Amino acid sequence: MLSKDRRQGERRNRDKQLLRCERELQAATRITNALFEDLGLDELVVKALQIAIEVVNAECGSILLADSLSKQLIFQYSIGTSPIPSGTAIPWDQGLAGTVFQSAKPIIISDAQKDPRHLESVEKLTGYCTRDLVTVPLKRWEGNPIGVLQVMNKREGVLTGEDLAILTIVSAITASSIELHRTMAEKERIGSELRIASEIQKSILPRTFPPFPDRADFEIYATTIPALEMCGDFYDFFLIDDKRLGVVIADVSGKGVPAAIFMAVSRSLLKATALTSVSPSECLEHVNRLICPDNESAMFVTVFYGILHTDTGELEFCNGGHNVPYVIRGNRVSPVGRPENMALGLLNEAKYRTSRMLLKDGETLVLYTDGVTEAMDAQCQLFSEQRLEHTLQRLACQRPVDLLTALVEDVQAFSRGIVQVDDITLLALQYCQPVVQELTLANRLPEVERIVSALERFGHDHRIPESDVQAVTLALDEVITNTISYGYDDQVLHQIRVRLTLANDRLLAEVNDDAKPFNPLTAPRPDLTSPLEARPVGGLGIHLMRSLMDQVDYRRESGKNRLIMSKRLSAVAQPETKAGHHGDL
Amino acid sequence: MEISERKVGDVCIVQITGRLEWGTSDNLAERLHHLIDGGERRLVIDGEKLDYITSTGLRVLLVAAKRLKAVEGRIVLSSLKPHIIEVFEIAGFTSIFPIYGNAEQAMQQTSEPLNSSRYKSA
Repeated sequence: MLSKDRRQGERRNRDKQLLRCERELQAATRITNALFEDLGLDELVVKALQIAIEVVNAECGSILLADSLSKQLIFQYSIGTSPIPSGTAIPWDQGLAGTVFQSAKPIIISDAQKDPRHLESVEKLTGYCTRDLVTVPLKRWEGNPIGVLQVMNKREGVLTGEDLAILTIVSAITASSIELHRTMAEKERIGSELRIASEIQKSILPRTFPPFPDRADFEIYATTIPALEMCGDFYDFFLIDDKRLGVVIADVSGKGVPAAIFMAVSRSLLKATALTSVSPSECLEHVNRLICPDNESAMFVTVFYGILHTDTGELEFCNGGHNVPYVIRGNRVSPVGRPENMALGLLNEAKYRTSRMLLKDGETLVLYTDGVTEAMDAQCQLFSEQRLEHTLQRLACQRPVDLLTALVEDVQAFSRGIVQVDDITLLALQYCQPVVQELTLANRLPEVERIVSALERFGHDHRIPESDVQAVTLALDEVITNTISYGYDDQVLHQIRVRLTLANDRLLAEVNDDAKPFNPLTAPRPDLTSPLEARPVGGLGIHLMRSLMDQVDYRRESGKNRLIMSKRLSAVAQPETKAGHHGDL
Repeated sequence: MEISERKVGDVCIVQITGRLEWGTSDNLAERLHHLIDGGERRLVIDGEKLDYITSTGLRVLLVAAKRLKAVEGRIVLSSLKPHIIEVFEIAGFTSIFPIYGNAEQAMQQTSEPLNSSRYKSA
């Protein structure tokens, strides 16, 4: 008999345990499911509380979340016959809830009215009478509570240790979900802010290539690949005037947002100063003095600033602590100057010195940041100056855009599979000594013949492909005929200045006249499709010109029309091409 | 620029040598008008020796073509050099001017009954 009773008792216990496990599991599953429903934070809290109350069969309950700013526990949500309004707050170290929150230990009470820690103020709000109650800290298995979960008045009997165990599980899962939710929301916010900031940062650097379509006397390309979303490297280039091009490469100490802000400031100061026509050393000295006094975070920036005189190829430069650039002359790659000046932002009184060199026709200046040479492969080897020099040698005959594209590919292939730790920034500037011929015409139609024959000679002398000479001749003919025919209201003699420039693989034809303002780019497109009887006579000349040239640029400057037409010469039969510009394609 | 004409049947072949530009287009215009006024209705412009053409030259051809069309005549082109054809293409003239590889072909086509429109670009 005894053993039978014992067996029955054991079975009852086992059944009870099984039942309890089942309830726990059920509660956990339901909350976990709720998590995957992609609920908002508020919905998640509501759901968790509903489940908590249901699984322990209680009348009511609340979830309170801690607010660390006001040091309060705030009722997020209550369920019951007379729920506590959301937003009701209590000090986070008072009452039963406060005690549980502070101690991170649960409390179970069978008669709340007799417990001195019970806050009557809350009950007065609702007129509800709490009998039995379980309060558990809302926390992950480890870690600090983020609030509390309270459940009150079991419908049958009183809340027990078994209920407490289930509620602890519910609380842990709920806390994890809430924290996960918060982290993700924060990440998303920061992520989107960073993306926007990164876009802004990129957009302040010149990104349109070719940047000066009317210039054939140099070719420039630059690129930057940030390691983090915010980048401390930058390049810049700008025309100081018609004959001087400024180029900048710089690397700000540090990374991420602070470096990016410092970069934006440095870039603006450099450009603003450079445009006042000062020498490279004066520019860096001035910017250094502007940066130093306010530089509380002790950031610094290494800068190479160069000015290319486009008519002679002379390069004035000042290197403020930056990696020594390279110049490519034919197949030779050599360093440019020494890093004899200090980085900017270190020493207010620092002096800077300008150096000079000459870029000859076809020679290329390559500026880079240490993200290139310090790119690492899987064996922790650096890309190094040596590898950079070899790569530049191999790519020596490429134009800037192809050169840098291939170089970046090389660096990325080198450190394939390795996370990029530093920004990679490059700028290449190729000088193309121009051949120039100028001609002045009177505004009389027979003069057009002079430009036609001048172009033929120019083309012949410089071995320009015949088809290109024909195209440019026709374009110029149309423009000048048009100007002479319609541009002048008086009978006075006017001058039309024509300048032909052959540089690199482009032929530019520039026309300057003091005729009435006329922008051929805004001229209406002629009708090219209607049948013969409806086809208008006229309007074709400007259309021919625009179609025959690759690029047309118009400006009205100090009372004059300035039209610059550019034609990229055909690759074939171009013996004077720089070291095979197209040969390697 | 030089202009020469020869007549084969009812077709008049006008050969242009040199450059058709501002200074020379008027000559061609005069000549074509003269021919049309004289009753010519089928014209072949032989461009074998045409080296250069500007919009002024194109305009002369367009005006002549319009005049001929109005009197049910026709003007076609032949033997144009590639860079001249390119100019015709850019100007949208290939859709209104039939262009043939040589004068004989052009002649044959232009002497066919009018309104047949089996034009082929060279």
